[in-house]
Amino acid sequence: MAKLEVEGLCKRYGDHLVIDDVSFHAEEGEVISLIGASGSGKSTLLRCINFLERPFRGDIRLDGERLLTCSERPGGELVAVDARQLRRFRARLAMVFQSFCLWTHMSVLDNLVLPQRHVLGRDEEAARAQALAQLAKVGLEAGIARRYPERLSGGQQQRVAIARALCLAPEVLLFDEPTSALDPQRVGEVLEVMRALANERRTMLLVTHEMSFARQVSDRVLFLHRGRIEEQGAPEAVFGDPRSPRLRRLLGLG
Amino acid sequence: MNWDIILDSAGLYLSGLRLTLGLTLASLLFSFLLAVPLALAKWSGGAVTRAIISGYTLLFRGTPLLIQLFLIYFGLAQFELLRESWLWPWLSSPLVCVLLAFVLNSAAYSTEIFAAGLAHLPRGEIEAARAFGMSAWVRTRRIYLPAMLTRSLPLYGNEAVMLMHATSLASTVTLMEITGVARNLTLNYYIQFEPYVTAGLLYLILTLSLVGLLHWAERRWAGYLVQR
Repeated sequence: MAKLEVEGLCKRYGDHLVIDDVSFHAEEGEVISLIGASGSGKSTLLRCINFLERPFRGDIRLDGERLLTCSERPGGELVAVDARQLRRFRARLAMVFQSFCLWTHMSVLDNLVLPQRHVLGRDEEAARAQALAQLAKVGLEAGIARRYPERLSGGQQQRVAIARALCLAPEVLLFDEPTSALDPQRVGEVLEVMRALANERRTMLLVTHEMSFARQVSDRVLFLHRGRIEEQGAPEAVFGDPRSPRLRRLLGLG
Repeated sequence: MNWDIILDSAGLYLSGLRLTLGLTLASLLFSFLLAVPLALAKWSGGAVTRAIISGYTLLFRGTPLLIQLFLIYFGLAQFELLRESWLWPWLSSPLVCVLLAFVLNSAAYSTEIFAAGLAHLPRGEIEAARAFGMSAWVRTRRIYLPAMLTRSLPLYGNEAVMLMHATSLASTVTLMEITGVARNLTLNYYIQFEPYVTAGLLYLILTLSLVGLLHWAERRWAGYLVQR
């Protein structure tokens, strides 16, 4: 059984179809990259999976369990039937955002402890220990825990955000262009952390413009164009010998 | 100069100071308790909720506090139905009327200040809280409220100081807070300067204490907003 299944997903803004009947699945331990030009719908697709965006059709399954949804009116957006099931799904699918989205009014430590306390119900002591362990894992020193996120560099903030996601022991990690908001010299440190996670055989979905990174770490690459999967396959095939002319253009192969 | 009179009236000023302080703190407390849910409702509610709350804040921010106080204290007495109701023992008390006016007025300003604080909360922080599976209650308590309060602290501090100064209006409906005490001395002893200067000095001390308290709170909780 696949870890994560996405089936027949459709999303539109007004009359504009941004995701057009997309289906794919991720096996346990698989790293899947979503690539495509800006506006191809890859971020929207990722955000539909944890219902930050509401699709109007489609199913999401985690370990075979379907997220129960219904639409309030015919053709309208889907909403979760059971708010608690949705919260449980979201915690199992931790997300890392392009702009970090750390809570600026609390220290790094509180950022890592808060979701553990209130989503997993861990006690304070266990949550702190987990937070410090994950900080060390993303290569940050413990002294950073007391500081406010905005006092840190972009690369450090994104690594804190990854640690925050890891603290929930998620089954699938969703990365939404995690290096796009970083200074070029900070990109490497974040990619390094992500490479280590991929090597641990974590299930990861990665929206990215970093083609060479996607080629190195992915088990499978999906190329999106106008909300549809236009090409998919192993990275060697997709990057080495792309068939879609639009993918060839995106990769600069003429 | 007649400073002897002021010295002899130290007890009066002290009780005036107590009343001013009591009015300020009670009004701030109740208006805060009213403004926080109103701001959250205005920020997250539907069009009807927003319109109702905006109507309320427009009404109380668009008219002078003195008029609101007179309408509550003198104006309501005109209605027979009200005079015969169980509310009347309350509404005929100047203290209750003053508090009602101050609370409703200050809550209107505070609601807008807090709502603006919420509007400045980065969208991504809200999304992250949702994406991690936090319930609405946890998001409100741990993300929205602290972010809102810290972001509006400087403006809210101004509002608190203005409200403290506005409590001097209570003297117009017989309450003997600092201004009332001073006014009484001018009438009894035919001196104008000394009583009012003394009153001004007391307000200044209160203001400085309040500002010091607010600065401490800003350093304690809103330090993350300071640009380096």
